[in-house]
Amino acid sequence: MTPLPPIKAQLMSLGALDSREVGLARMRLARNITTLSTSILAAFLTISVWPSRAQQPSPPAPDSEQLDVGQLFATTCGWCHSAGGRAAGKGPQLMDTKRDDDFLRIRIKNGKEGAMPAFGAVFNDAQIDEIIKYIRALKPSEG
Amino acid sequence: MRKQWLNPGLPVLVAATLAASAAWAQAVDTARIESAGQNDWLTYHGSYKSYHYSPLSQINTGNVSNLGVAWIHIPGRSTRGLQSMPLAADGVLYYTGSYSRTFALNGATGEVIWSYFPELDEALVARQTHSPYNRGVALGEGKVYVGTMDGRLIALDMKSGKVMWDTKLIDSQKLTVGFTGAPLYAKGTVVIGSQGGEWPGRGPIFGVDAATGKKKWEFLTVASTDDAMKTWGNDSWRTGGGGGWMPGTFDAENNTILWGTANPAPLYDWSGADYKTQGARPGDNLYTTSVIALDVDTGKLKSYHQELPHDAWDFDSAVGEFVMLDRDGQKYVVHPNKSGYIFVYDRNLGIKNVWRITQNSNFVKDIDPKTGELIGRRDFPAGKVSEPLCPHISGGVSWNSGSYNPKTGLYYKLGQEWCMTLEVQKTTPIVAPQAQLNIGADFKIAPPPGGEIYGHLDARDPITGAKKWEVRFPEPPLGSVMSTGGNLVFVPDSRGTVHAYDADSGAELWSHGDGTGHQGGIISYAVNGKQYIAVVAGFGGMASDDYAPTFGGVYKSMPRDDGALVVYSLK
Repeated sequence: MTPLPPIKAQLMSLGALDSREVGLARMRLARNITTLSTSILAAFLTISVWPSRAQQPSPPAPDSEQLDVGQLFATTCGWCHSAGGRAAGKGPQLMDTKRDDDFLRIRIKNGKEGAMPAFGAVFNDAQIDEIIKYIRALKPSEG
Repeated sequence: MRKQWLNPGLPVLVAATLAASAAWAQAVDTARIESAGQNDWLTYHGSYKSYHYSPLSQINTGNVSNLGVAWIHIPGRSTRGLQSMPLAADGVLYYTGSYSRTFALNGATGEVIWSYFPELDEALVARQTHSPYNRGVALGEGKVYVGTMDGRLIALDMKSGKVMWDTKLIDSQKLTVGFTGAPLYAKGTVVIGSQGGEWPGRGPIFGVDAATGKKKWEFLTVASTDDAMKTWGNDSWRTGGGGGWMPGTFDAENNTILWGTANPAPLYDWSGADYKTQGARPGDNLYTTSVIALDVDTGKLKSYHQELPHDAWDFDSAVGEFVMLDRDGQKYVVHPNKSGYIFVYDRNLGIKNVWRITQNSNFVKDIDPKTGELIGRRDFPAGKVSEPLCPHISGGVSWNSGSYNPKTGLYYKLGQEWCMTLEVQKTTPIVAPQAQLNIGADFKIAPPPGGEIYGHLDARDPITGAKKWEVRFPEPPLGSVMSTGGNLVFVPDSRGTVHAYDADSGAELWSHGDGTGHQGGIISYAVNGKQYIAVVAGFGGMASDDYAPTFGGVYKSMPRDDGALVVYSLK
């Protein structure tokens, strides 16, 4: 079974039929082995489905993977950057930020101790560019 | 009126030093924690009764105005402040700071007896969102137990701080989550629950042999039984959540661990009303947002109550308080849910009553006090939610604890009044823990309809919820509350002031600034007949990070990487 890049596994597009089929096959497989102990199950899933960091030291290749940054904010970034990045929350407002692209890129990669996690192991440069593009395009939400 | 309790002088100092030296320490075991001697604070919740109450009365309503700082301790590297509950045994104070830095201090002087800084996987910690704070240790069998952000439970020799064992319980590299909560020691077993909630995983709670460090059992809060598996439609158990990140307590009569579990993921589901069949995780999602009773020896589930079936609001049951009461021949357990509803159970977790501490609450219309059933629940479809959701994601109550005072019969508990605007997003299932959280919505903090955000300390009957008095705060205090035999209630607030109130009337009798906001524990103990009050100060973290942008004022300059342990005694 070919390991998927982590982003692909997380944000698997519903439209990507091949990915979905692979995913369903894995779920069926997972169901068939629920009689195994949970630790074995967890180990199995790790090895067969998702590459560990050791196996994949470099960030995933961009290939045709489109990062849905809106979803990413709804699942992760928005916890701190409120209203999809439009308002200050635990983290600063991102809409209309005066920071330049390099600053944003480095902050996303390295995080800030005690304030923001480091996402350098999760997103490659192309994906970080997508995130920056999303931030630059932010407009006040209607209503 | 100042009262002299001890003759000052060298003999006392020598005696204090000796008493504080670990050589004098007696074994901390289950029976000793159960009996909760007044000079100690041996477990997170004060005793297995979870009262957060000290019977000490040397500091009391008559002399609290003479309370002053005895000593302070700076743990260093307090990223996201200090959030732990100190413990005290035989004159020695044990506590942790961020990164699980662990200290044993002379309770009378603050002198460091030993310290232990575990070597952590720093690259992993840098990737974590709910990190690197630590909420405390457990004591038992001559050891101090502490969890780490990289998935380990470590036992240290109580006298020397030497590592006795170091057990890797979860693969944090893979799951991202680790341990921030304090462990619980009971009957030869150390129990600790992992983070969960926002991450794909099954939120394990572990029982570990206190003597050897060997894992005895593991309970998965997500779909651990066949019945529970059926409550996660479309294999959504793989998206998971759950966990049990605050210590619960031990019911010796039933040989049972009582524990609260965290929420399912994503936090906000787009199911709409048909949550049993639609949305991200169709069904009730057992055993998330539940209170569970586990056999302490085997980890076997004995009983449970799911406080919010299919929690769609992140109002989980992770609060670790299980207030054990006896009244009129009936044994009760009081457990606050994050929503602000307070559940009253019998010892088998059967519902006896439900009452609410918050004014502003609209995620349900009500909860049936007879059955615990949710009435008029709001299950959102994808899209903008028209009426703000109350309370805010930080909850109607904090994960920190209230206090029950057996002398007044009152339960002192903080309530939080705040709401949030919300736009629920239909997201693709997250089954691989790489990009951190799984929220499922864009949101923003908001004031309650027609009012301002505020917090309040309530003095209530713990079983009926009848309110005797209330004290309001302009911003919700986030720390723990403690009451004492001196008829006092202590509240460390968010601005950085510790307040002492008359336990009967709520009149403020004393206050003192600690220099930064509070969001951790407060305890009392005695060394050689002298009573001390220890509180951790240091702001920053998931709830408190909202304070600077929301309230401005003192929060704008308040550090989120600093903290101190401040210890008070009578001058």
